[in-house]
Amino acid sequence: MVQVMNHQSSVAITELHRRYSKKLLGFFIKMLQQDEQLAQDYVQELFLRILEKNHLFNPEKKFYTWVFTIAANMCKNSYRRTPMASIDRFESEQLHPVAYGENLAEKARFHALLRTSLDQLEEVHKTTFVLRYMEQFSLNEIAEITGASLGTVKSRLFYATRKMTEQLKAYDPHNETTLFKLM
Amino acid sequence: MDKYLNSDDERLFDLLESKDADQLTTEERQFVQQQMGLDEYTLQRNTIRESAVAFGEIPEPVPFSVPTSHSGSFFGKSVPLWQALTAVAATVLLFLVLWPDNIPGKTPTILRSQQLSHTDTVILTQTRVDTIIRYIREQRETDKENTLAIQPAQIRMLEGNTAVVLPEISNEIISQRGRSLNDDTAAQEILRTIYRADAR
Repeated sequence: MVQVMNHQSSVAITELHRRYSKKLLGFFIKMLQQDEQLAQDYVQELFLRILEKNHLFNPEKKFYTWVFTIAANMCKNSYRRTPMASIDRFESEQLHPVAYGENLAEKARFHALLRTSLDQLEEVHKTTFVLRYMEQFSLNEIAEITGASLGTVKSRLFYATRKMTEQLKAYDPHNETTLFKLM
Repeated sequence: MDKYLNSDDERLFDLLESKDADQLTTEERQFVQQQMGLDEYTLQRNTIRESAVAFGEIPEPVPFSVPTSHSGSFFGKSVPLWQALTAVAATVLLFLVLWPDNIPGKTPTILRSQQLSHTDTVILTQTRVDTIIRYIREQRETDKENTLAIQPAQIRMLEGNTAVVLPEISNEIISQRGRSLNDDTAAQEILRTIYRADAR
């Protein structure tokens, strides 16, 4: 597809956009503190870069991992320019005790806390966590995208998960909800 | 924080990636209980599982519009008009400055050949003329003198009195013979005369 793009740019890039844009939009939303408008702009910017620098793609590698490498680097640059989410937002998501029967509401609250605690992670840990548990990449693919070794990827995932659960526990210290007992 | 995991942490990581708390074997359950506790294990497992759906439905992306400048641009890049005109003007100016006639110190081909041929001719002519004239004149004068000296004698001999009858012995003496004395009768006669005189 990328080789075809060298000769028929408009048609090929439109097809690539159709196949990968939604996945990339989801990735950017998770990485950019759920700012949907910014994520849409990043998707446009990413495909412009693909159009201009398609000659840099190595045909022996997967196009999917190459695209996400570009996306991860764009997010890394964004982190350098803007700080992480403020504490105020995190406190607004504080969990209130919910009865066991209201499972859906508990889940919704849990998801909200998850999203907020994800924003508190460092950029490298957040990228690794999102790529593994949200975008479903394999460990080897994550290593290729982030440029890290397999052992480093495992380490980052292990500590990212631990830190997120610590923040989740901080908002229910007395374990008054059945939050931790979701099956 | 990014150090490699030790063996226990790596085992915990593998269990968290693959099994819920109620799927652990007895030995694995004991191991987890020792490392972090089952409640912590459950929470981490729920965090991993629920993360996949924590963001709900992803909205539709905005359609991608290919920039118009990309389709007709020069080598894939667009250049402002004023930059293009400036580049053309600079190229023309450079061409005019570097035109061959305007290069200082460089002369046309025809003038150079005239200067070379004129210089060469002057030098060679002067040298050759001086040498040759002197030599020839001396020689000619010398030959002329010899010619003059010889000619009068030859002319006198030729212009001499041819009516006088010379004696026979004179003719015999003048006439050319062979080298051998036997062939020279005049010389033999002279010798006989001398012998007769001595014999008396």
